[in-house]
Amino acid sequence: MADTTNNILLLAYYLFNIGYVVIQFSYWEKVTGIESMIASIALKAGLLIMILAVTHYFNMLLIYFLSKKIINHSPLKT
Amino acid sequence: MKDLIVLAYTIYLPGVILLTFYVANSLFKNSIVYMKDIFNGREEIAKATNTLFKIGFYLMNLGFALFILRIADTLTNTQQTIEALSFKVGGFSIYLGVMLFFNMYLFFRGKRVAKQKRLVALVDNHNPQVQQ
Repeated sequence: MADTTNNILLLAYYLFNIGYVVIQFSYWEKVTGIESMIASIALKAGLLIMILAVTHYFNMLLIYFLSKKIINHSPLKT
Repeated sequence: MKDLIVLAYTIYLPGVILLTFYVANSLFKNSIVYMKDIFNGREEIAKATNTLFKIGFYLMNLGFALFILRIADTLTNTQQTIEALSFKVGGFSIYLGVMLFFNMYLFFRGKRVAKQKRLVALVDNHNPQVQQ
């Protein structure tokens, strides 16, 4: 059960980010020089990394709430 | 001049990355103490949570640093370069400070909640061994 959930989360993660990257490729603007190349690579990479960060925090919250649920249902041990 | 913008980028990128690494290292070296307290001294889960928070911190801040990299206005002389650079680095530092205080707030809040839970468990169970 834990492995399955983990795998599904992982797969969703991969699909989401790869899809995003491919879409970004098709909307890439004209690159005129080295400075606009650095700027546009940084912009796209930065946005992707920020999305990764948000998904990461979301997954941490998910794990936290799931674990709280499980702990509440299991008998208390000291 | 295009060379000045490239120069500004080459100064900005290492500076911002080093700043992020320094802040994250000093924050998460000290936060492990709070994590151990929150998780009742369970070393493994404290370390794991600390690492997860660290990765989130790195991702968030490096992503933002790259996101705001572009210098839109044209730089004609050294003065303008320094001004644009210090505006970017200063803005990023302020953002980094806000994120640092936000993470510290999370740790302090977690510590408070853990303490309350321990007290409640103590009262409920009449069992002094719960508290460590």
